[in-house]
Amino acid sequence: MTSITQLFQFDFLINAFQAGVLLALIAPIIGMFLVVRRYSLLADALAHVSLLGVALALLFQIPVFIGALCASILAALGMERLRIEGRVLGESIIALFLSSSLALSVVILSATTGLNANLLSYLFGSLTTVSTGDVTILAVLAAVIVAFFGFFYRQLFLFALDEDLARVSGVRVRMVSNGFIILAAATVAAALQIVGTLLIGALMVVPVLTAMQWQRGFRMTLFLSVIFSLLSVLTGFVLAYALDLASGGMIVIVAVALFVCAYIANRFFPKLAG
Amino acid sequence: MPSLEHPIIETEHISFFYGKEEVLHDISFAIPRGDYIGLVGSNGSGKTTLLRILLGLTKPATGSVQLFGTPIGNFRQWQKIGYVPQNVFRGDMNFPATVQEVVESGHLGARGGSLCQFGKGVCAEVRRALERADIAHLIGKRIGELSGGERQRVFIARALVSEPELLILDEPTTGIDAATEEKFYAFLGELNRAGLTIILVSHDLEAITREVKTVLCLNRRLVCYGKPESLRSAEVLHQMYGTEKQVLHHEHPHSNL
Repeated sequence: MTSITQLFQFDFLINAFQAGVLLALIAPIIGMFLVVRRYSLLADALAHVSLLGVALALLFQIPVFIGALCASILAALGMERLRIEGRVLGESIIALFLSSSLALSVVILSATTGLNANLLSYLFGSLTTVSTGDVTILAVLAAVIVAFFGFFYRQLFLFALDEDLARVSGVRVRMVSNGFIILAAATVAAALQIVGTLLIGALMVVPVLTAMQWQRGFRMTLFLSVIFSLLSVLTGFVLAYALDLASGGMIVIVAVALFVCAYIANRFFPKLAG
Repeated sequence: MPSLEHPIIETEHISFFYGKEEVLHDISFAIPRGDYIGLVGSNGSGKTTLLRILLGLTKPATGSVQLFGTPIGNFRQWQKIGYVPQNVFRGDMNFPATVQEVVESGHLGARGGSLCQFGKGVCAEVRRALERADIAHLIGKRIGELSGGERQRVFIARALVSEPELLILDEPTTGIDAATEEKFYAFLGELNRAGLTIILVSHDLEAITREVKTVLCLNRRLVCYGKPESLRSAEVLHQMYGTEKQVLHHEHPHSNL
């Protein structure tokens, strides 16, 4: 097994480590509000739409992140619009966007670059390809997300609790909701290269589910989610490097293992969960 | 005695349609400060739609609503209104929130919503609201652990934390046992005697007749707006329900909270 200290001898690994930590901080913050609003699959749908953005970016030869970001934000706003109109059921909206964007991206990619190994890195993530620019984008995004959630925390909590109650309490629901969903879309687009389309949803949702097994209040659950997310990313990152395995998959496997342990603890030793 | 000089809510000629079906027709009334109103009607009578219009959640097809003398479109002082919805938390007992967090969220209208605006002052107000609702001992409990009656009181404490002038409750006793319900009505009576204006939406005609000062009877149009004794009129009941219905009246000694 390779020594852990060797991890930080290469710039690309330092970039990967920094990107992983930043993503571990912001993914569960977004995920927490998705889970409690029963909208967990939104992250998966946005990830698949981001893949369409990647395909379009490769087709029109623009930066991949810009393509993924634009596609993800437009789709997020479109889904929110359909949800508010109420003519299509919430889960069906997600299925509609998820399957149609995946179909479109596969068709576009096969017609242009071909379904090559490059696509696999977007599907499953590759920490080794993270650049300094990617880390900067994630750092800016993390600062915006922390500021947004700090400033609108109570509005977001109430919005998650009950949308009508939020409106009657004077929350500008449309603004808060759009702000949240744009940041969710940006996080998915930024995470695409790190954990991949197929795994970003898990990184947003699984640490939150693990934290919820502890049966605490909202703030404490949010805090625990970030801790479990960091633990998953750091452990998964080290294991992937040491065992020469796919980083995205390893991170999510660790996150799921933590969930299984928390679930068993909660189920069979409920006093541990308080 | 409620005064109509400055009504808390005033509606004029409200109507509302679902598709082509008219659910509310030409509803006009004014609710004076200090009143205790029972909004009653059968299923499909338009109670919920009217409530949503009064809260600004639904726009009427015609007519206008004024809250505290301000057209509802321009109304911003939401801390003056405490709202207890019918179905919060009935679906998901796993929602990760403590009683304290839920009650704190009632401060939004008065204080804004960022994390840093919630200091010791708010904690004292949260504690006071919990004490008023007689649930101070539940402050650290998770909301999903509570019984239906306790949960209802948490949402009332939440509604009271911003010291509102108007409390609106939508079917608050659904799923609550008879003993808890009696205590609950006694609590609402105390709040009203302390000066709070209350609008209570309910199916329970017997309780409404017994508890409130004024009834607002709805069957897509305003059937009657007056003393609760109106509900003993066979004609009013016939207009509301279209069948012969009788309201039984029992005196209930209220237990102290």
